Amino acid sequence: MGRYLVERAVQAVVVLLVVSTLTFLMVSLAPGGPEIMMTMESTPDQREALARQLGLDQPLAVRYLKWIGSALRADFGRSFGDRRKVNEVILERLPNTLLLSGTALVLSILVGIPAGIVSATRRYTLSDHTVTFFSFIGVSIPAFWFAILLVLLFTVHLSWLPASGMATPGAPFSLVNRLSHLVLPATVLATATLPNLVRFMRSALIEELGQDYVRTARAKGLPNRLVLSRHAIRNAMIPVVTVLGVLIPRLVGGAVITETIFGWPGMGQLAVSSTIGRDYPMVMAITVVVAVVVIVSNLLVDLAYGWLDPRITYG
Amino acid sequence: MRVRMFALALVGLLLITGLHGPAAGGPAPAAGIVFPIVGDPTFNPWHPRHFVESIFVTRVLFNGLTKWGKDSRWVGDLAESWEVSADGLTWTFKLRRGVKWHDGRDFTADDVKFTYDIVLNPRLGATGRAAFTNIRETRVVDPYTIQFVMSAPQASIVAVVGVNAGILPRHAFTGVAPENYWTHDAFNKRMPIGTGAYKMKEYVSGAYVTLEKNPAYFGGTPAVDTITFKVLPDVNAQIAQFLAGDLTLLFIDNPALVRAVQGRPNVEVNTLPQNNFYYLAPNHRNALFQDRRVRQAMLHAFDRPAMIRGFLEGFATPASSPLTPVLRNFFNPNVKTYEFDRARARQLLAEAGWQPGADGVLTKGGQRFRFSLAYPTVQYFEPLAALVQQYLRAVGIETVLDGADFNTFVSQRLLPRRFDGLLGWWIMPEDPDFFNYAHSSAAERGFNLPMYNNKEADELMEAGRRATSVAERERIYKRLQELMADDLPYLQLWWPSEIRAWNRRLKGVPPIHLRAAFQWVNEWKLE
Amino acid sequence: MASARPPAGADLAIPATPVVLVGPEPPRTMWRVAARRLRRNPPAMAAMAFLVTIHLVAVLGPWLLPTDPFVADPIARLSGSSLQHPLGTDEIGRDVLARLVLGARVSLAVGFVAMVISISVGVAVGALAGYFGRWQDAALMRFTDAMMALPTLFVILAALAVFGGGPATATVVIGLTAWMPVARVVRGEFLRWRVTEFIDAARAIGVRDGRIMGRHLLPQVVPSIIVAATLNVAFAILTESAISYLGLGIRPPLPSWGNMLQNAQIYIWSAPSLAVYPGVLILATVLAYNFLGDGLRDALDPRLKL
Repeated sequence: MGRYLVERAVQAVVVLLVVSTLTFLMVSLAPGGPEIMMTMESTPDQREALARQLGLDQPLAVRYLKWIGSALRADFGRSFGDRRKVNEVILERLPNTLLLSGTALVLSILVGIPAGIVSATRRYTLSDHTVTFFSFIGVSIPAFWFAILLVLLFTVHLSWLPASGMATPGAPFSLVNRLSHLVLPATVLATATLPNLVRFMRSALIEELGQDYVRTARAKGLPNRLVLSRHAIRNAMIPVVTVLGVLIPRLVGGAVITETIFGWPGMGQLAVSSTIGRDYPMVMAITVVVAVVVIVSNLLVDLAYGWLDPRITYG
Repeated sequence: MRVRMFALALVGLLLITGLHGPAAGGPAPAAGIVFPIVGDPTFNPWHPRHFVESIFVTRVLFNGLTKWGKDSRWVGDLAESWEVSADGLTWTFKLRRGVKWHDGRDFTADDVKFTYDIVLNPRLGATGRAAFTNIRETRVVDPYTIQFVMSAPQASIVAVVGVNAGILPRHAFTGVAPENYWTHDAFNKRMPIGTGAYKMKEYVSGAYVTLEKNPAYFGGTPAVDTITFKVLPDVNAQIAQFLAGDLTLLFIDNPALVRAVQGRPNVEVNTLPQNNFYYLAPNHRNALFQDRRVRQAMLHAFDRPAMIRGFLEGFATPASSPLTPVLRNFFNPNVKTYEFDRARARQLLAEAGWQPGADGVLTKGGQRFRFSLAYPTVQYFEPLAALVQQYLRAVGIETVLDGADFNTFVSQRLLPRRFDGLLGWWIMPEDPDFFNYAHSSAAERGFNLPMYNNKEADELMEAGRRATSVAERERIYKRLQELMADDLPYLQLWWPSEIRAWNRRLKGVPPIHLRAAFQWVNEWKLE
Repeated sequence: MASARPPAGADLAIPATPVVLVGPEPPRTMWRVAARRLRRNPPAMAAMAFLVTIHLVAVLGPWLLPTDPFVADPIARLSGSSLQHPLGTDEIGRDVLARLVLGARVSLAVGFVAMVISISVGVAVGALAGYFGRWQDAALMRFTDAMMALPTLFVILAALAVFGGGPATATVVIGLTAWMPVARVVRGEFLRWRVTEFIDAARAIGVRDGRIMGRHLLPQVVPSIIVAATLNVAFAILTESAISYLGLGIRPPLPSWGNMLQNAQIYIWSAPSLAVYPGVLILATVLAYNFLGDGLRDALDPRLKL
C-alpha cells in the first residue's frame, strides 16, 4: 500500500511537471500580452513600465525557473490583471466551483443510478428506450444552448429561478436562496455527466445479472426484487465508483461554460477571463490546481474502489 | 455497508465545501440602486487594471478636480475655481474646503499632489497617463491651492482632470513604496477611501460590491441608502435580471438589445448623444489611401442612413466629423458631408486613376484595390465588418476581413499599426482637443491610429491647445472640422447614441451620459 | 499491483467493452454479421439516414441554393420567414437558410477533420505504447495521463488564445484534445495481442515491427476505432459550438452552426428563432452520431449478443 502510494505520487509529480511546462510555453508564446498593457489607450512608455513591473522584460527561461521556484513553495505570484495574490483569488473561487460541481455530481448520482437500474432491469421496454433516448440527448445538447433555453423558461417566462450569481446580493443567508441559485447551473452541468452514469450503471448491472450467482439466487427461490437489491445492484455499484474518475475532469471542464453563462464566481469563469486577458500567473495556477484536483480525485476513486472491492489489493 | 459509508462521506464532503460559501451577506439592506458591471472592479482609478467594469464604481467613490455638469459643461468638483496664466503654462486650481475622506480625515492639496505624482511617475504606467504628459510638475501653494506647471500649453486640461481622474488619499498609502502602489490590495481591492457620495460597505469578489451613502458628502447627502454593483458578465443575464426587477438600470452598448427591454411596463428607455464616434481608420502610410479622393469615395460608398436605421435600430447619427455636436459651441455643422452615392464614389475613384477590372474590382497600374480590414470581435464589429465589406465591394474595392479577439487586435494590429484599414471607436472627453488622435506626433506613440500627417491640421491642433480664450478656440476647432471633413483623417461613420434603460422608480438622473451622471448619483432617487 | 483504472466503458467516448474476437484474423463474416445487426437497430438506422441526408445537404446544398449566404441587407434584418427567405434573415439581413446550409458544411468538416486527427494521433500513440511497452509505454502513457488531467475545454481555450481562431486552428486543436481515450483503448488491445502466438510467430520469421503493427495488430482494433471515430465526430461538432460560444471558434462572416448560435445570443429576445435553428441542427446531428456510434458498438461487439 505504501509503495503504491509512493508510486502514484511520483507519477503525479511527473504529470504536473508536464502539464505546467506545456501551459507555460503555450501562454508565454501567445500573441498579445497582459490586458493591462493592451488597451487602445496605452502608450509605449506605459507598456514598458508595466512590462518591467511584471517581469516580462526577462528571458523566457528565467521566468520559467522563477515560476517553478515559487510554485514549489505553493506561491503562484500575483495576477497580471488586478495584481492580487493568485493564491488568494483561487482560494476564493475554488470552493464555489467545488460546490457547483459537487452538486452536479450528487444530482447525477441520485438520478443516474436509479435510471440506470430501471434501464437494465427492464431492458428493451419503453422505460429503457426513454432513459436511453434522454441520456443521448444529454450528451448531444450544446451546454450553453441548453442553459439559455432553461433561463428563458424558468427565469424569463416563469420567474421561478434566478438566472445568475450564487445568492441575492446583500440578502441574509438563506438555504432556499442559495439552493434556488444552484438549480439551473447544476442541472446544466449535470447533463454532461448524468448520461455516462446511466449508461455505465446499465451495462454494469446487465453484466451482473448474467452472473452465475444471480442465477443461483433466483434458483433458490429468492424473489426478484431481493435478488436485485441484495446482490446484483450492490455489486454493480462497485465498478460505478470508478466512473467518477472520468466524470470529474469533465465536470471541471463543463464548469467553464456553465459558470460563464450563469455568472457563477468559480474557477471556470476565472479561467475564461484570465485566458482572454493573458493573465499568465493566473492561467498557470488554475491549470496546476485543476490538474491536482483531477489527480487527487482519481487517486481517491482508485483507493475507494480497492476498499469497496476486497478482491483488489495494492501491493 | 461500505457502499453506504462511501456515499455518506461523499455527501458530507460536499456539505463541508459548499453551503457555507462567502456570498452570505449581512442583514438585508433597504432596497437600493443595483447596476450591473461585467467583472471584478479595481477601486483605484489609476490602477492599470482600471477598466470599464471599474469606472462606474470609482466615479461614485472618488471625485476629480472637475466633472461634467448637468448643463453639459465642465464644473468644479474638488476644485472650486481655476485659472491659467497668460502663457498657458501654469494652471492654478482653488480647492474646496471642508471636504472629508470616508475615514474622516481632511482632504487637502497634498492629496492632489500625491495623486498626480503617481500619474506623472513614468515607472508606474498609471492608466490614462497619456492625457497628462504635458504636465511637468505639480506644486502645493497652500493646503487649498494646487498648481500644474506645464511643459506645453493644453487648454483641455480642465476636461482631462475630470475624466477618471479621481483624487486618492495620501494617508492611505503611507509606508507603501511607489512600486507597490498597484499591489496595495488593502486599498485597491478591499477598502478604498474616497471623498465620493458613497463609501465601501461590502465586496464579494465575483458577485457584487455594495456601497453605502456617505452622509458627510460635500455635494449633499445621497437620497438612496445603497448602491450595489452586481458582477454579471453575460449580457443576457443582465437583461433577464433587469426584466425581473433585480437591476435598477442598464447600460445598453449594442442597439440590438433595445428590443428586449422596450415597451415593458415600468421600464424607461432613453438615449443621449455622446462624445463618441465610430470610424474606419485608413492607414495613411499605405499608398492605397494617400489620395484624398479615394477616402472621399469610400465614405460615399456607405449607405449610412440604412445601416443606422436597420443595423443600429436608429440609435446613431451619421457623423460629419470626428468632433460631435455634444461639444455645442465648438461644433461646426457647416462642413462637407458625404451622402450615399455610388456613382459619385466611382467617379472619384476614376479621377484617382482606379479603373474596374474584369471582375469588377478596381485596378491601377496592375495593382488591385484590395486591403485588409482589422477589427476586434467585440460589440457589433463582426457584422459591421461584413457590411463594410459588402458596401465597398459594390464600388469595386475588395476587403479582406481580419477580425481578432480584443487583446490580439490591440497587441498585434492596433499598437504596431499593422493594418491597412481598421474599424474602431473613440470615446473622448467633452473637449474639442483632438491632438492625441490626429496630430502627426501621435502617429507612432499616441492614438493617431491612421497615422495622419497634415501640416495645417497639426498647426490647428497645436494652436487650439495654446489658445486661452473660448472664442479663439471656437474659431480654431471649427476650421479644423472643416479641414477634417474634407481631408478625412478618419472615415467617420456615425456618432452613436448612448442607450440606457431604467426602472421607472428611478428619478433624478441628469440628462448627461451615464458615466458622468454617476458623478451626480447623490441626486438620484428611488420612488 | 492490480489495476484500478476505470473500465473502458466508463466513458461514452470509449467503446463499452473491449472487442473480443474469436481468432487473430477477424473473419470476413464478422462485418456481415455486424451489418445485419445494425440493420435490426432502428434508432441507428434512422440516425444513419439523417446523417446521410445532412451530409448531402452540406456537400451539395451551397451549390443548389439560389441565395448567397453572404449578401446582407441592413434594412431587411431579423425578418421572419418569407418566400424569399424561408427561414428569415439574420442581424444584417443575410438569408438564414443559406447560412445554415453553408454552416453545415463548415461544422461537419470541422467534425470530420478533427476526428481524423484525433484518431490518427490516438492510434499512433496507443500503438507505439502498447507494442513496445517498457519506457516508451511509460513515457507515452504519462503524457496521455497529463493530457487527460486537463479539462478539454480549458486546453482548447488556452490553445486558441495562443494560436488564434480560424477554422484550421480550431479543427486541429479540437482534434488534438480528443485522442487520449483512443490511445488508451488501442494500447490495451495492442498489449493484449502482442503476446499472442501469431505475433510471436511473425517476429520469429523476421517481420519488421512496423509491418507487424500495421498488418497484424491494427486490424484487431479496427472495430473499436470505428466506434470511437463516430463518437469523436459528435464530440468535435459539440466542442466547436462551445468554443464559438466563447468567441474563439470559427470566425464570421464564414458561418458555422456554432458561431451562428453564438451570434444569435443577443437576439434571443427579439428573434429567438435565430438561436433555435442552429441549436436544433447541432443537437440532431450530434445525437445521430451518438446513436450510430452506439449501434455500431452493439453490432461490432459480440458480447452484447447475450
